[in-house]
Amino acid sequence: MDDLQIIELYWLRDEAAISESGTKYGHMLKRISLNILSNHEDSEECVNDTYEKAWNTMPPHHPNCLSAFLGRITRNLSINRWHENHTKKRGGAAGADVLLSELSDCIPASQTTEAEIDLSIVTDVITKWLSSLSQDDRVLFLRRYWFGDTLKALAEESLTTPVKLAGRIYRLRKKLKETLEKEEILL
Amino acid sequence: MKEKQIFDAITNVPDELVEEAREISLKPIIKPWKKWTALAACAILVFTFVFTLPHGSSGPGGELLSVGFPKAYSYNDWDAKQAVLKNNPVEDTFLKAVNGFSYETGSKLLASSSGNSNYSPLSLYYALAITASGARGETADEMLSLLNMPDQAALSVQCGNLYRQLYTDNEIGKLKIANSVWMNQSVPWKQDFVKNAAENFYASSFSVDFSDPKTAQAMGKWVSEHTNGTLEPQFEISKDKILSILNTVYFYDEWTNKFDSAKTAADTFHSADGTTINTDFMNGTNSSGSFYKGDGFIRSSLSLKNGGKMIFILPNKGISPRELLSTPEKMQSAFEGGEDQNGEVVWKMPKFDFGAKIEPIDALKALGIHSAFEQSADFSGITDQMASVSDIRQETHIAVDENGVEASAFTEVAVSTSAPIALDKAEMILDRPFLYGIAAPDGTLLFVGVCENPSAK
Repeated sequence: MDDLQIIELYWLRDEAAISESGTKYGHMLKRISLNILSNHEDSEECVNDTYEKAWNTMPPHHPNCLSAFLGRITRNLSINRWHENHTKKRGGAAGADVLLSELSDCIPASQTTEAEIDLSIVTDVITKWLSSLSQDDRVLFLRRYWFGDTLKALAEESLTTPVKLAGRIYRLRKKLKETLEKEEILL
Repeated sequence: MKEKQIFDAITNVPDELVEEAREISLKPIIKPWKKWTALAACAILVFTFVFTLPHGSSGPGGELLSVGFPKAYSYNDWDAKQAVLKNNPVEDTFLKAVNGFSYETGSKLLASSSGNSNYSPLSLYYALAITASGARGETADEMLSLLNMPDQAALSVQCGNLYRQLYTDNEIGKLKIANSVWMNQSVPWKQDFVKNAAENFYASSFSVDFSDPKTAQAMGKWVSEHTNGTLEPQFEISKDKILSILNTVYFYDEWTNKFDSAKTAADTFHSADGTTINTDFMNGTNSSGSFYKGDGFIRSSLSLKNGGKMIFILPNKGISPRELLSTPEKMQSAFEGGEDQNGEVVWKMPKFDFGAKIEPIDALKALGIHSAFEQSADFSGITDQMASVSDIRQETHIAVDENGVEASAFTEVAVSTSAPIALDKAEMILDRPFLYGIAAPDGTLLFVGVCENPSAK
C-alpha cells in the first residue's frame, strides 16, 4: 500500500492504518528505536507508542513523507525513553550513550555560557551542511546519526572495517563542528 | 545537554534527506568495480551480428548450447550483492575504456541525428566486444582500438565480470541482459568463439537455417521476450546469413522519490522549430538537491532505487542539445562538468515514451573501424569462411513516468562477404528540447538521448 493510502486510512479513522504502517515501516521503526535503546522491550513499546501518536496527530497532520514522519516520532520517543532510563540509572549501556558521545565532537567551542537556542536554526545549518556533502557521506552521516545504525553494520555495507569507517565519520563530525562554529551557532 | 540538542536538530532535517538515507545503500569503499554496480540502472541493449557467406558453403551443423542467467538477488540482499562485486572485479582501466567509447560514439551518433534520439553506448560496446572476440589481425586491432582495450582476453573477462555485476532482477528493478548466437547449421564454427561467448557473454547458441522464415520469427520472439515485449524487431530471411549474435538488455527501475501523479498537469513544450506541444508534465521539488551549471547548460539528476540515476541536461535558451554533443569533450563536459551547487531543485519534466533507431556504421568508420567492413576482414576466430560486417543498427525504446524509467535497445550488425556498408536554486523546467542520460551514481554514463518532442512515439 502506498503512503498516501495509509495516510488516508488515518484520516478515515480506520485502524487498518496502524497495521499497514507496521507492515511497511515496523521493521525500520524497530531498528531506529533499538539502535538508541539497545533493549527489545523498550523499543517495542516506543514503536507501539509511535503508532498511537501518529493516530492522534493525523488528522489534522498530513505528512509529505510517512517514513520520515513516523521515524521522527520513534526517534523522539526513544531518546526520551533513554533519557528517562539514564536519569533513573536504569538499564545498561545503550546505543544512545555512544551516539551522544560521538555527537559531542560536533559541539562548537564557545566562551559563553549555555543560552537558549532556536533548534530550527541548528537544523537549517546542519541541512545546508549535509547538502554540501557527497551523497555517500550524507547517507553515511544520517544512517549513523538519524537511523543510529552501528559502525559494524555500516562497515559491512561499505566493505570496509569499523575502524576505517570510524575515521571517516569522525572527520565528518569535525567538519560539522567547524560549520557550526563558522555559522556562530552557540549551544 | 548540548549533544542532545545536536541529536534533536538532526532529528528534524528535511524528509528528503531522511528518505535518501533510507533508500540509498552505502557505496563499497573497495575500489573501482563499485562504480559499476549501479551501471545496472541503465542499459537496455540488443545486438545482432549477422554474418553472411558465399552461396554453396557447407559444413557440419552447430550444436545447441543453452546458457542461463546469473543468480539474481533480492533488493535488500546486500551481502549477496557485495559477494558478486567481490568475485567479479572490474578494472578501473576498463571503466575508462567504456567511458571513452561512450563519449566518442555518443557524440558522433547523436550530434548528427535529428528529432528524438536514444542510444545505449554500453549496448554497442558489448555488441562490438562479442564481434571483436572472434576477429584477428588488423580487423581485431582496429576494433580493440575503438574499444580501448589491449587484447581480446582482457576484453572478454572484463565484459563477463561487468555482466555479472550489472545483472539485476529484483522486486523493484530489473537489468536483464541476454545474449544469443544464431549459427547457420551448414557452416563450421570455431568452438572457442562459441565457448567464450557462453562463458563471458552468457550467450546461448542455436543451430538454424536462416532461409527458413521460422528462424526469423524465432529470433524476433527471442528479442521480444528478453525486452519485456518493448521491442519487436523484424528479421529477414537470408540464404547468405551465417551468423547472428543478439544481445538484449531490459531495464526498469523506480525513482527513489516518485513523482506525485496528482501534481501532473498539461502544459506547453516549446519545440526547437518554434511550434508548441501540449503535453503532461510531472512536477516535484527537491529541497536539497545537487545541480551543476556549466558552459551553456544546467544539469541535475534523479536517483533510482537500485543505485543508478537519470541525468537531465537542460541547454540554456538559444542553445540546442546537439551543440552540447558536438564533440566528445563537449559531451563529457555536459554530463560530468560544470560548477557543483546545492539547493532547491524544482522539477518540471514531461512524461515521454518513444522509440528511436540509429545506424552507427558511418560513425564507427569515422572512428577508425575499416577492416571489419571490407572483404579482407579477418574473423577467423569465428569461422574459416570469409566474412565481413555489412550492416549495424540499434533500435531503442524509453519510457519515463511518475514511477520510474523503462528502457530497451536492439542492435544488429550484419556481416557479409561482399563489399559492405551556495544555497542556490535550480529550475529544471524541461519545457524545451533537452538531453538525458542514465548513469551510475559516480556519473558513469550508460545511456544517452535527446528529447525534442515528448509527445512523439
